[in-house]
Amino acid sequence: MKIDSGINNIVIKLDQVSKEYILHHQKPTLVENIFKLGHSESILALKNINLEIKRGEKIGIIGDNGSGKTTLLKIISGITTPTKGRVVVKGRIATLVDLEAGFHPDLTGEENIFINGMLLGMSKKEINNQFYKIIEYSGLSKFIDAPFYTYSSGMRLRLGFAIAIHSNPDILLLDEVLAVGDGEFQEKTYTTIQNLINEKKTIIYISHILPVITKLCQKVIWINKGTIQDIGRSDKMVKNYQVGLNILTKSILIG
Amino acid sequence: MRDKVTRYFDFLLVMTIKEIKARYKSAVLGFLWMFLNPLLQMIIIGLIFSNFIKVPINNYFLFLFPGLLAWNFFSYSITKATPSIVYERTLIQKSNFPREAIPLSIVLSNFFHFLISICLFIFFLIIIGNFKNGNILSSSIYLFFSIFWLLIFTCGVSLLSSSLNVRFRDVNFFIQALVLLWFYATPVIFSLRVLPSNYLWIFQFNPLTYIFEIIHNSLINTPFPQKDILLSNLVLSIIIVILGFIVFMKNSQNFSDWL
Repeated sequence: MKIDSGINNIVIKLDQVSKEYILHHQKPTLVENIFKLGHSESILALKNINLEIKRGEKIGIIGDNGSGKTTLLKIISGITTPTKGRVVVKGRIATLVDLEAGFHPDLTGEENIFINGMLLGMSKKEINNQFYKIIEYSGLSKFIDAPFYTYSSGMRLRLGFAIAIHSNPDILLLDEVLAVGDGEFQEKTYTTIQNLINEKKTIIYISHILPVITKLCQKVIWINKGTIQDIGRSDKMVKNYQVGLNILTKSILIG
Repeated sequence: MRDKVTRYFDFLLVMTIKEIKARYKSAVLGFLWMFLNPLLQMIIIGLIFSNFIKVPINNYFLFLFPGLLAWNFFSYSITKATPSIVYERTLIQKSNFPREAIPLSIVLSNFFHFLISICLFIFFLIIIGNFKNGNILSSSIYLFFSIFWLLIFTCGVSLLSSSLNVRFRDVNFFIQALVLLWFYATPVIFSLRVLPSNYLWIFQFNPLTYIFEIIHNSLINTPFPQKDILLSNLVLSIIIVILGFIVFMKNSQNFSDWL
């Protein structure tokens, strides 16, 4: 019998992860770079992050602008790699950011489903299996053989969301995108995300809308200036974070 | 593992088909441009060089065609591939697909066009009965070898230039100028045999020399190139291709930081 121990259950593990960005005031040209004319400053967007996320956990990430939330998401999704440290991710990740990206304007919706699906890591077979479900979900069956440039921005987002959801991810990364399309479609996306939450999917959600975070997530990571300030139950973290914000606001108002 | 490999090549294929489809989607003449374009080019260059600057080559118009087709493949590929990563920045910010698919799909889509037009040209040679006399088998082996070499070399240059262009946008301008110079430094519209022999050593440093000489030789009756160019061309090609792969793989993980 196989025991489902704690170690096997960890789907995301960050070990001493740091990310350094070179602060470019202006893009260095070749000459500037060779002769070191441009001054190079660097900033640590993340400092020594240690993190373990288990299968099925719903994690919220909160923090001020520029605290490193998006960098953390990019590192987990593999869009960028850490300067130091190690990242282990098990399973397929879907990132619900830039839903409109990855489509070619001159090609039809059908053709774009294949391109976009494969960009998200689906195989041809998977796309074939999910093809009609994607079209049905997006509600674009009437326009699916029209070129993509004729689509309205709402239609683009709907197709992008439909493909991302049908890519059957194990881990879902959300960055402030729960408002897609019109009212009816928004309801649909909300139900879909609710269903994914009820399934044993791992979800990481970045947002400034704190009530949604408390509602969707059990656990919250509070990031401050590139380090983890605190991890804990979502209601407690959100409260602490708000207290911190209030103190800051007051000090600004007084001082 | 096998699943991963098939998925990788499926992805590359889909990206390539996207490039092919997208190029002629809104052109009325569509895929006809694939052949019309080099035909027009051949007529213009042929008229200039056979009337104003005499090149001592028999059947000059026929001689021009295969070289121009191969050159178009190479130059279109690298000029389009070099800025490709920067153009596709939204894709790169979106997910972590294999980045090399972006420049390689451009090279492969151009290669597809090249193969079709070279096949049409061979067909044309057979019809007019001007096909090279001699051993057809060895000619086709040489032709196959040179086209394969050209493909790999183009991939290497594209990987190198596209990845460097992410950090140094100057590379794009450099490549544009280089392509113009490279055209005259490669035996595309002339053959090495018509050049003064004291310039021949320069061509050792151009990896494309041997490729174009063999393409000419295997399709048109031009003399076979000297063997001493082969070695230096081959070594230089291998160095550039390996360098391209290494530089691309090293930089591709952090492309998103620079876009």
